[in-house]
Amino acid sequence: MTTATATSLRLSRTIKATPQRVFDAWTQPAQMQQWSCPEDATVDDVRVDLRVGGEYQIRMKGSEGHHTAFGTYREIDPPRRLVYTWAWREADHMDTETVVTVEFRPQGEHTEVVIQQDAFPDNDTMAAHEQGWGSCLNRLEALFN
Amino acid sequence: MVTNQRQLDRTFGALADSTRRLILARLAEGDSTVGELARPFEISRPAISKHLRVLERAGLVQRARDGRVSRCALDAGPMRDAALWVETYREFWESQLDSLQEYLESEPAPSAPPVGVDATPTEENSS
Repeated sequence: MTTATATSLRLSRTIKATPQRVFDAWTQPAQMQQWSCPEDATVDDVRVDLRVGGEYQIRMKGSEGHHTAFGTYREIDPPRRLVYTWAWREADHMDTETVVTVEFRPQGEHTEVVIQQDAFPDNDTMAAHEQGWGSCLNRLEALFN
Repeated sequence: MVTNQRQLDRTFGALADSTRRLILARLAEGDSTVGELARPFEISRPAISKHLRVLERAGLVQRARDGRVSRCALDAGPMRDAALWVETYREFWESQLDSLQEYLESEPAPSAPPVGVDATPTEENSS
């Protein structure tokens, strides 16, 4: 199930592994190297400094060349939750920075991985207006759908 | 589709303010004068104008003089472009989750090291 708006994206998947295993796969470089890129690409290099304020970098090589994803960890709550920034760095420019929130929700022995990606930075007043914004967005999006 | 990065950044920057989001929501209901827009907010006309300038610069609002008043109208184009850009990430994440699922579900579970211990994982042949 996925939902998306002009500014954020949410999707989830249930994986047959415990939250601890999934969290480790998401944060340990040797494991990240095994899976963290699309099928038609390979992971060249992974660096992780797993602490609040620490940085990560995932360098991928695809048919079109290299792409590097990088960012900073904001929240680390093993094995439940990770929040970090994410931006693509190309040879000639840097993409818009986004914030990724990943939750690892236990489902018996399995894990529901919920990913939310937000395309603008934290804004304290967001939460207060969020409910109104949700319905406002629906009206806005009706204009261009 | 060529992504105009600077335009995207301006759009997201414009949207990263709750007052500006509410202005856009109000304009989604119909064109408005600056005065009419300012009314629900307890902020000054100059402050509203400042927000409108950010929105105009992002291409989200068009302003036109109508006699002695300025009328503002929403341009949904940049929002659509922003939504399309965000949507490109969906395919990326779905593909990531496919990879993760295959990685975790086809390997036998190793004995999980406790969190915080830097354990070297067993070398696996990735198929």
